[in-house]
Amino acid sequence: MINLEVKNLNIEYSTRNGTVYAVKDASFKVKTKETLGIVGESGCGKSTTGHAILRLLPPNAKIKGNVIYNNKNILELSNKQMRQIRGKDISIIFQDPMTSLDPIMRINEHFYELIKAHNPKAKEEEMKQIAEDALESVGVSKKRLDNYPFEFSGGMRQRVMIALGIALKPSVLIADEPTTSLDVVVQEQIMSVLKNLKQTKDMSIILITHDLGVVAEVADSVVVMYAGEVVEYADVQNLYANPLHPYTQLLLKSVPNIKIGDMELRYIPGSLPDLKNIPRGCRFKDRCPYKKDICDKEEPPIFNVDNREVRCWLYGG
Amino acid sequence: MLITEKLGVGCMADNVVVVKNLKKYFPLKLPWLEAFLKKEKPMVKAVDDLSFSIKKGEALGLVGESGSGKTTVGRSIIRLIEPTDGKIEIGKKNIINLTENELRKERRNFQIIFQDPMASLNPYMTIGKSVIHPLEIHNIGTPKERKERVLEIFEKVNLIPAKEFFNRYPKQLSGGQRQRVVIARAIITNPKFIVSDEATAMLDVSVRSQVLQLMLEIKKEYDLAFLFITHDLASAKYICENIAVMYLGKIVEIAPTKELFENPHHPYTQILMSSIPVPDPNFKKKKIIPKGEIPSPTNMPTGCRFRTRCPYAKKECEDVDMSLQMINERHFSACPFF
Repeated sequence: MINLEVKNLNIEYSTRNGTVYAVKDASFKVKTKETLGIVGESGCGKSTTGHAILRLLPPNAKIKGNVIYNNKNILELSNKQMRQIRGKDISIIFQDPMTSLDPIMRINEHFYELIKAHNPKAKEEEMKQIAEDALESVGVSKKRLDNYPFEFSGGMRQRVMIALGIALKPSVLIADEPTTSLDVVVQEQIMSVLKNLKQTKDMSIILITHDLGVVAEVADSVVVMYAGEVVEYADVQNLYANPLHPYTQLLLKSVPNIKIGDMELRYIPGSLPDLKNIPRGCRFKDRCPYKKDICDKEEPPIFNVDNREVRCWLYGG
Repeated sequence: MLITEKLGVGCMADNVVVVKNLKKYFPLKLPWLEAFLKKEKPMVKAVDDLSFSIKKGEALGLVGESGSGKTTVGRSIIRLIEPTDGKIEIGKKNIINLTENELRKERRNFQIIFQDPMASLNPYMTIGKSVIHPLEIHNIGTPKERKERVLEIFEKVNLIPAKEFFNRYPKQLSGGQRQRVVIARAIITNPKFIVSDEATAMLDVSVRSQVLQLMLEIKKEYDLAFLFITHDLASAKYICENIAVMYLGKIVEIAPTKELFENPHHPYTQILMSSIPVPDPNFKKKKIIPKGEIPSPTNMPTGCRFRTRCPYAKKECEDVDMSLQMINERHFSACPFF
């Protein structure tokens, strides 16, 4: 069952120095119990996409397209209707758990605020029960409900954030770089919490990250973004076994690995194009080893190859 | 003591950096009455009796979680913070005994690169000025020579066209370019030794590899000794000849990189290795997930400091001391049972 569908999403920011075309024509779907990974470098539009689903972008952002949830385009809902969806149907956890919690509120107050926003008449015992259940499901003792955020370590705070995210049993959880500011060992613990949640709750997870290793471990399907566009969309097995887009191929090769025989450092030469002033044709052409004439002239559309989507002239035209 | 001597057998002459029994204790703040009544002041043992040496043209990786004390090590060996005790030699010079004035002069021989390049560059200074600054402080060359030298270094770190970059401000650069500026500034005085404190942690995968490549190149070209502080074993693999794994202020394992990856001995090293995500959905690795998180250094476990999280902990672990045991000539580990 399709839980959430993003169709032809376009996002522009108007700034003093011109319009930034942050996301262009992004489309993907998430099924129940599926984890979708969105990967790409900083500035590729992955977080913007994630935040746009919940309409959390700053006022200078213009969003066009459709985000279909429950047969409704939630981009057209009123602010009041949108507030009812946030946290209850679709929730989000952010990268930095240090700044996402209010330092002068106890953990339980965070939960109560969330619950009361959706059910003003909720009773204290009821709210406490919800908070305790959520905390226990991410491996935090319920005794710690009375603590303040500063009494938690980074990894524990991120667990609390996840608990807040899932407290009202949302059907979609957007995790925006949930482990980027954490150590590897703690990252591993948080990842196993997320994997666990997917199995035990009927939930879809949209995992936004730049770490291809993390995606390989938890995602079922993957959207690869480059300079605001979806350049490849495939299931995780196929993507890693046989990456089609040259960007995906190079990105996969540039991940530092722990195989001892492999001592060669690989990277993608050059850098992202300026999103205010996008060159004609393919956005990756200046860094692409397979560049053809057509890449300069025309922007590649999405081609379907073996049930996968790839935006590259190598596969058509 | 014994260990450093063993690690440096026969090649003491090449050692650029020698650290022996380094200790950094931070006094714990207590309410005044309690502080007055207590005879022994409680201390946070951030770095506890560390010894290692780094040869010319070689890099030592210092790997561990946040809170393991690796940054404290990096800062205290170049005296950005004063070590409590120990012996530090950089290029045959005893760093500990230098007066402040002497130390300032000596600083041209050792530099540090921090994690956040935006925070280490003055936003109101063009990057050219920032990089020229060390030459002015140490009074090297004439103003004209200085500028030429900066342009030359900019080319080397791939900030091309150098002349254009010279007049840019940090906010006009990308994260990777900023880190290149910081590296340029670190090598402009021709140092012998560079501490890199999580210098690639904030960068994207592809940019990270570019910056790692640059570090490899300058290390080779200037025959630099490197202390590469990171939490990422995979990055350390590319740069470092030797790797030391730290946990709660102690080195728990030290070995040549290849040896460490092929034959990790200490349970903590094994855990660190197994928690690195592998970009392959079919890779089924043996997962060892430790219990909980790093304990507070104010309340250190007795005996082995890792025993509270160790999956193989037993009764005896409560009274072992964490001295390094020899596994082979160049491989040492602090776990006597494994």
